[in-house]
Amino acid sequence: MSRNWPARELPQLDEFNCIDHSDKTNSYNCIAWAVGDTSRWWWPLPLRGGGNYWPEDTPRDETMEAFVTLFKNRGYTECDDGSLEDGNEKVAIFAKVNGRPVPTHAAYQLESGKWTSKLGRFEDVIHDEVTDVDGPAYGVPIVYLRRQRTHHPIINN
Amino acid sequence: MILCPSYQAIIGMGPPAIDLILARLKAEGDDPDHWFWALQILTGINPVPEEDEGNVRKMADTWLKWGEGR
Repeated sequence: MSRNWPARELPQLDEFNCIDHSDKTNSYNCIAWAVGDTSRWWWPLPLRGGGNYWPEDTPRDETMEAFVTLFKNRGYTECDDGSLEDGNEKVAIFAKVNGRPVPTHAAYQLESGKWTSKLGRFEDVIHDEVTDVDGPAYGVPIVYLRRQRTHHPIINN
Repeated sequence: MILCPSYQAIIGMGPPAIDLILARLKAEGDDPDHWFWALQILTGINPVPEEDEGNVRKMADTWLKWGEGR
């Protein structure tokens, strides 16, 4: 596998804290990956017809509230941080923090305590810390949510 | 992606861009890029069934069939 993502946008990811898990693909994105769907690209905008899937149970808004609702509708509740908790799995929703936070990314915590992220149109990766994908592309994690661990349907925890 | 200047410039080309995008979509094969918003804006239609929204391969197939049937 080769790394196609722009290092300038994700400056903290390197060969020491990150391993590739897939080839580059346009088929799914970070939200799809976090909920375990590799068949569709999940994003609220553009609206119907724009080529993105967004579930009907969630407001079709590019806001933190909508993204939190997306995960709450899948059994998650908000929590304080991304620490590993026995029996729970977590997701982190990222945003850029200059002004009103606009969601940019979601990462999913594996049972090992490591995190996995689909990097937009590039690869999905396993990274040591949730903050390894901080940077110009995604900003920083703003909201953490947890639920009882169900095991990611695709990736080996 | 759709907000980036180059994507907007392609939309700004108007209808002549439609065939170029369809050719690109075909060339991209099993991993088509997200040209669907541009196609919808440029053509004024959306032939993709609602249940296929987000599935780039199915959306690409639908648009390519639409292109062949024009």
